[in-house]
Amino acid sequence: MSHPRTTLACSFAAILVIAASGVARAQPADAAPDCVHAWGPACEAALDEAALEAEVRDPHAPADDAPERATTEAAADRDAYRATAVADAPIASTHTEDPTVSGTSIPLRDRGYAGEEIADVLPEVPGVRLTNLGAPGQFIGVRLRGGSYQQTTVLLGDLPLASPDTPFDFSLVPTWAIERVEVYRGGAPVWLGGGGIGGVVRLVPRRTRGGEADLHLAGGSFGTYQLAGGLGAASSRVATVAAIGLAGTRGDYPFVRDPTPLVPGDETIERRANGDNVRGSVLLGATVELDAGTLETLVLAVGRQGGAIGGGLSQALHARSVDRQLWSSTAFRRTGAIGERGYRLEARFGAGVARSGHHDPFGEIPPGPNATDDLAITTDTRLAGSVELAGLVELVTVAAVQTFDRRPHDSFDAIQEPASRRVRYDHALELRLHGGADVRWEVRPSARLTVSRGALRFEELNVFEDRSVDDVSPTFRVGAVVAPGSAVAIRASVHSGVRLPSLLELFGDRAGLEANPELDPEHSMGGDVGVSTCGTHRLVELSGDLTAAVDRRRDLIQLRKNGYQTAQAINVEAAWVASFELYGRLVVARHLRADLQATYLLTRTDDGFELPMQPALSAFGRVEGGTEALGAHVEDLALYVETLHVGASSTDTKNLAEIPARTIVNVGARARLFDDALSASVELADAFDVRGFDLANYPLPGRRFAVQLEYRKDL
Amino acid sequence: MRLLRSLPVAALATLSACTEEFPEPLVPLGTVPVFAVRSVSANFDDSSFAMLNADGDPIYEAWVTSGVTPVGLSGAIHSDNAMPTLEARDGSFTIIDRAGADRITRFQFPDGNVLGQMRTQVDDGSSGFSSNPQDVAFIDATHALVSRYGHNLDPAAAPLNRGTDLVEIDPTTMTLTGERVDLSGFNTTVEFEGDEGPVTLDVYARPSRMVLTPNGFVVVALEMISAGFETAIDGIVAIVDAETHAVTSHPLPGLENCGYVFPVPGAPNHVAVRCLGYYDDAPDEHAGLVILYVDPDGVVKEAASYRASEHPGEPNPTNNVVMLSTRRFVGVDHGEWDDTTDVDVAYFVDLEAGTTTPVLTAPKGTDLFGTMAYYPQNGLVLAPSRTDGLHRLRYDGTTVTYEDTIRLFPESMTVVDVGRIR
Repeated sequence: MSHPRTTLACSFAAILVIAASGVARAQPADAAPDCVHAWGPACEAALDEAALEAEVRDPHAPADDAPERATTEAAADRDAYRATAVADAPIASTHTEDPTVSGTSIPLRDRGYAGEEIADVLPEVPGVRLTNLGAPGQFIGVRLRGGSYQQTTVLLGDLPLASPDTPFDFSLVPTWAIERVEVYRGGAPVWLGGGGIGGVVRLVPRRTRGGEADLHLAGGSFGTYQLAGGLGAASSRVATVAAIGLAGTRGDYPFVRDPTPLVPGDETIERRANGDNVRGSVLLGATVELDAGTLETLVLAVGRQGGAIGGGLSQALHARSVDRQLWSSTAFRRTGAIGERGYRLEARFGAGVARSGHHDPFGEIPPGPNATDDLAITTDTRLAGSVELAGLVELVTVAAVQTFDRRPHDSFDAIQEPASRRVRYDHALELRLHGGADVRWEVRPSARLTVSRGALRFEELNVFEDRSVDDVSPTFRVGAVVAPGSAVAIRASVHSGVRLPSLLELFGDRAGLEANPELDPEHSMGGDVGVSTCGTHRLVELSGDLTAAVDRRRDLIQLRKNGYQTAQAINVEAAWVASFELYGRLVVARHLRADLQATYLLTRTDDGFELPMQPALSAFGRVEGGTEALGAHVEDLALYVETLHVGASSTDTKNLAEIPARTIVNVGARARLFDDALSASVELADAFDVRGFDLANYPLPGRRFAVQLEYRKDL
Repeated sequence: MRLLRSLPVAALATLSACTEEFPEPLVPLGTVPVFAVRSVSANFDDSSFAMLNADGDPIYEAWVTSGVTPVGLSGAIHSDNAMPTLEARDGSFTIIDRAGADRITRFQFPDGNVLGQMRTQVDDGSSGFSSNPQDVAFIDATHALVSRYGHNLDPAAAPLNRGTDLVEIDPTTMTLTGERVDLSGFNTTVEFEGDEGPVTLDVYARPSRMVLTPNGFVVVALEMISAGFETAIDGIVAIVDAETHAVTSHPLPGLENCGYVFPVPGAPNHVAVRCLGYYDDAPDEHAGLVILYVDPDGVVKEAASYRASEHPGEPNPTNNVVMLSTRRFVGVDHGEWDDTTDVDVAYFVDLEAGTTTPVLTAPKGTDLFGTMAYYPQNGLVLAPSRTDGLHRLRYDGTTVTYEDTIRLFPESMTVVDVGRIR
């Protein structure tokens, strides 16, 4: 047995790694700190507050957020949690990163719901609005708190995947490559690159839990299948993880085709055409514990090939597309102490290469025929650190430089869209003030400066002209939380955000979209208040969060026609956005589990309209009854019912027309067998065949089934 | 106001709940309007039509909108739509949903019955295709020709899905008759200096707006724009015999992007063709207005013209034109986009007198005025403005004067077109 002090320090260091990046882990002891595990209790950490308080704080332990809080994430492995806890009472939160932030964390591994995609999980998070084109593998965009796709920051660990120039397609990333998904609404934690308007979606890559192997098989309606496997290995200094997967679909689900809605009775039932696709993914991660610190590297490759699905009115039959993306990140992290003052440092370099091709020889999908081969290269270099300035004061600084090069090419076009480049520098400083004994408190003021230059080489009539647009955007955030005990925390924040115009909006496409280099960034300023709870009373365990938020958005960018055949992006609108977000998880005697999220979103532009594509009410609920252990080989047999409601949303800025609300019901069953080595599940989704639309002209699939088998073995 | 806006929807919903009548009516108007005003939402996702009387006063604002049915594959009407250059004038009202929706909808005045809604293409299972209808020329009670701008690149497409043609419909049954007038013979090529050197580009005829002359010819404006919208060549009008479908043509040398053709009040067999020029070059050099006379044999003669290139240094008032006579029109000179000094100005142009008189000034440029309409019976000219609403002008036979401006509900919609219904 190792010395307790050594164990404490090692575990603490490893937990820091979890908090910072969530990539492959070195120490098996830190595995699975997720108490909102799909099979687990609502809030395990808070059960043992006395034990936590009894721990003696290691004076040499570095400063960090995660171990000080009893989060609904924390401590499925109680020993790991306890080993890293400090004497302060924990602060209840529904995520791990920053208790002053409104956020939700959903573990993805071992959920065991049949055939699940990330798009099936995100509706469980308050404030999330998905736009789904229909078949699995087609574009899925995410809007947060009434924002646009471009106002959503997407991270892989802490590596940015999306920029204002490339809204991220969530259909590309499979669940088996991801440990958990974290959603931070409004002002995000400074460590993750705050300053966005809608918020941050963080995909935390899968990590190893020690030596393990697993296999995932799923299949379902419309030729949909998933095949994936994972391997993990760990020694005292090295941990590795690998996951590989394939998913595909015919995507030929039926839909009601009614191109003439003013003539009732002429509807026909047709099948979606060209919805077939195959997606592949590979994740490789390694963590090496060096004497000087921790070295982490991660590679994620994803690809998709198949039909480019068009609208349902005139279905595309021949248009095809292929997308390939490779993301990599290498980070060095060191934690330690200078005297009694802990510190942490991180240096990370990340890069991404995205290549997308769209071949539409007949121009089936607007704006017309094309054969594109677009290349985008992203680099992201980041230096971050924190240091305890005094016992209750910690300074956090994050500096990042990001470059984004885009080289579009369309062999159908005589006039090519010019290549463009964006260089962006972000620097954030945050003070973390914290303290209290019976009543814990924390205040985090931060300021961020974003400097950006967007440039392209414009060629017209054989004359080259370099054009560039510079922007300097300061933003801030002040967050505070008070926790009278480990079960309840009350938080509030004020924050500002910015969304830089995309290069396309700034420079146009040399065709129908004209340049507008005078375009201002979109801005927001607002705040939120919330209360988080995490507690237990006898057989009832409850965790949850209730948040009210309001912010003012101005300089919102829209495309406006400025001529018969041309349009231009301009700053046209300002709006108020208010939201009420409820998230809860209840476990009764471990046999009854319930999850709930409800979001009420109120948007009003200055001329009195709702923002388009923003439903007022969206809600998700799941009730599940399980047996827990039943005989020698059955760990649990469970039945569940889910319902998802997406309210009506207007399609346009003047709210003339709306996409109707829809409420769908899913039912399913799952079983854990043979010491959790095998799990099996089945689901009937959209049992009442409601179907519906997220976007006009793109019908969603209706009733469908999925079955799934997962096998896991500890090595 | 929001309540008002929702009334048609509520009425429709109530009616649909109470009756199985087919098709479903809109709100009855009580009288037959003279003008229809088309407005679009700021993001150009939805549209709305207001109905006005002969004095330009609203009878019903937002009478039919995209939202009269819930949005599924599409709204009830599209955002990119148009009214025919010449309505059937049989007490009906027609909306042409262009690219993406590809359909025609007809309503009956004053009761609001939906006479029918039809697509301007067939489902032949060969490829996705948007026929992109632009105009309807009503020939007689059971025949109309629809101009289709779309060009189908799929060689396996059925004839009725090839595009670049006029396709015949029966307005009473709202069906395709199977007849079409192929205009792809006007397709050609052009040499173009592309990014990677000279290239040969396909140029499509792109049939656009039409006028049926009383002597039985359909004058079709052909835009003659390249496949990827890189450039345009000289415009052409096709002259189609409404009965035999025989096609002749008249070239418009020096003029490009000639997509609009208008009737000329008081001159039955005259039409005016408007050419915008093309944005790849100095547009004004190839912009202008040509008044053509179509004789009983279908031979076209140029009666008058205003070519911007012949008026260097002067305003180019050939945008958003409404004809008052063979020699007089109101047209707009575009300023610079979003510029408060170089603004849009509407002019009264007298070709005979050679005068150009400003009658309206917009607060900014560009393209703030939409397509105008003129009612010869009372001299009313309606000029829609994207920023101000609907301007009322009066033509007294010698000059045009501004009267007032009215706002239309929903006020924040962008008023883009006015069409004369009868």
